[in-house]
Amino acid sequence: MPPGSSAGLDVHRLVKTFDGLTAVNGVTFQVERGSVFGLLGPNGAGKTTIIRIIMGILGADGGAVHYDGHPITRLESRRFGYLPEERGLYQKTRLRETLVYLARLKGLTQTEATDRVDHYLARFDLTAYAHRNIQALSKGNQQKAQFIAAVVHQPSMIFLDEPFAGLDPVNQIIIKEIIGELQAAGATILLSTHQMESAERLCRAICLIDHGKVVLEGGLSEVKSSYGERCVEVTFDGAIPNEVAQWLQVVETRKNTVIGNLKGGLAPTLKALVELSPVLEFKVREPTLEEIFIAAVKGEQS
Amino acid sequence: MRAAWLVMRWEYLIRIRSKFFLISTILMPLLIVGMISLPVLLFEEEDVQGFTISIVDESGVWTERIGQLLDERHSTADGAPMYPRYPLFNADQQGQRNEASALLEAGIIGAYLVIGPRFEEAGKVTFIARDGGRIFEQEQLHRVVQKTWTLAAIERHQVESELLATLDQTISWKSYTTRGSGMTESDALQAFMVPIIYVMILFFAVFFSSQILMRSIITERSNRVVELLLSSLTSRDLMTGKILGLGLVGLTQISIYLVVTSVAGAGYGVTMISAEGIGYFLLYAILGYFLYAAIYAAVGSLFETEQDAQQVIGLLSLIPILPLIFSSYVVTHPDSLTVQIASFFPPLTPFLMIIRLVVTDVAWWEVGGTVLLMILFTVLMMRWAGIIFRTAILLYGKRVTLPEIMRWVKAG
Repeated sequence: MPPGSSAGLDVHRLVKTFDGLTAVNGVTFQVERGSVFGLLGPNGAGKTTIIRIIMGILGADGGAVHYDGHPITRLESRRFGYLPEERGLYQKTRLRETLVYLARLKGLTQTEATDRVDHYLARFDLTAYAHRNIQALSKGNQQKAQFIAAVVHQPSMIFLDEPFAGLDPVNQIIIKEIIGELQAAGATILLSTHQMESAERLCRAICLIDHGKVVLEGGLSEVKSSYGERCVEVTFDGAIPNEVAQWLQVVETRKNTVIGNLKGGLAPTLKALVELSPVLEFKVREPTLEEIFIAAVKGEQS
Repeated sequence: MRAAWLVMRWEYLIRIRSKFFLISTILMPLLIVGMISLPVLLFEEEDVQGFTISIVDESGVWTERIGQLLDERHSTADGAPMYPRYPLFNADQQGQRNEASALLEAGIIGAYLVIGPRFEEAGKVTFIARDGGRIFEQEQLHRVVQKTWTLAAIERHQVESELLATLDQTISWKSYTTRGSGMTESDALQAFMVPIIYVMILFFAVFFSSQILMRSIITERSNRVVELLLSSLTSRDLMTGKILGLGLVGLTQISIYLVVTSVAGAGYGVTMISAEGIGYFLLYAILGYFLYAAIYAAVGSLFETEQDAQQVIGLLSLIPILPLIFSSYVVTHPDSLTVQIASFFPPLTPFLMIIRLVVTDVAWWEVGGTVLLMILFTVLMMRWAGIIFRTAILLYGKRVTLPEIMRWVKAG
């Protein structure tokens, strides 16, 4: 499929270097319109840089970004919603007027901005703080305010960089609900997160990045099934023998149980493991996204 | 453009209603009014209290003469003498001195005068007080003794009484300055103070605004709001909006100051600045602000905290402080070659030209030339600042070096 032929976001062979260091190295992925997409990867993988390039905050050294079939324009990206990973708001200005200002920068009129801000303040239980200085708000409430700033103008595409970081479970649920609502209203959402559990629940497709390169990409179910046949859980009748590492790429160990990815075929591995030590249980399991993440990153590193 | 307008409005409104703006804007005119009125108040004769004195005078002639003139000239509001004499009982000079010294020690007198031997010829007097100062009282006493001595000399030389009366008068001295075809009455102190007051206003307004600009950029960088802003508008719009918004804050402040100084000046009968002068003042103030705003914006985008930026700010403030330090020289030598040449150095232009325009007639080509040069220099600085701002604004955790900045500017 040629770049930019699909509806939605199309990132094609993106390259960005900083002082000779390649932060993004030929990254390609597509985000289907109206879907929730997970951009995953360890710290420093290059996720924030990719988002900044798409948002037009940074220029790319190579590659292209298409939106709805045409090269993305600065005007378009400025209308996108963005929750940066590094949070921060003005401290000495009042909550409501600050959000109205940020909404107006996104293109809303004064009346529209005021109405939407009031709606979201109510939704997040922040109406009582509307005329307070932002520095008087708790950290969690400031996070919510930032989330409002990202979605208040009902953008067609929203970038959420670690939206759950620093939020308590109750507020995480509210944010997840709102993500669902925004998607139902037709918004395309790109979610960058370490929280694999949330990504697994929310995303239709993912792209796993490490050291600026795509390690894994595709629909969640495809990714899982491609890894699924390879992941086993083995419980030994006694201690886990050291030789296990010859047959499995170990993801996790618990007491006498080891979870890992097959290095060879299923049958020869089972046979070999039984010969090493008595096996109580041998399960082929669908891996969690977290396991895929760890395995992929470890595999990349080795 | 809409985004730049929104940023400008925001920056203007949040600063103008901040407590800091209110306090600094009120304090500054108070300082100016203080500067105008302090010297005037200091020279107010009513404030001189006077005190009891003794006069060590072996001849006994001078004590009476001086006393007479003192009572004639200096009396308190209720008509009592300001300098009553405490009599000395000893006849010889040494005895009188010891007596006066004891009186001074006891606090009975505030000071004593020692009239030297053969005073009519030698004209030597010593003033001894407990607390060294008392300059205004000393000045009054000095004048009275001088007068007494002169009158005695005139008498001794048998000068006609008519001539005596003439000599006793003081001549009238009025000072005028010509500007173009007009002529205005002037006052040396006022001629000296007025331009300095305007330079101070310019200095405060330009630096108040550009320092706030820098601080606001550093704050947006350290609280990371800048990333959110740059996702909504270009760095160019952001910088333009901020510079214009804070420039308006400065302009508001200048307007307040100009009104206050004019009103305060009128209150003291001091002619402040002409309408034409205000035009020049605003022109140089605006140019000066844009120039320093560009520099401070660039510096702000390079640092994450104000402490980090402190050293560079200190260095930068030296440039505009120079004309403040040398302003008294510029006021007295507005047409010297050094001042003329220095006026063409853009960072100094506004400050020097304001003084010169208030004090003297500046040739049209100098005004035109300095303005043109400032515009060119400011446009160049704005461009460079734009490049530095764009490049550095999202660069965290890295100390930028000068060669790097030069590279950006060259590449941009």
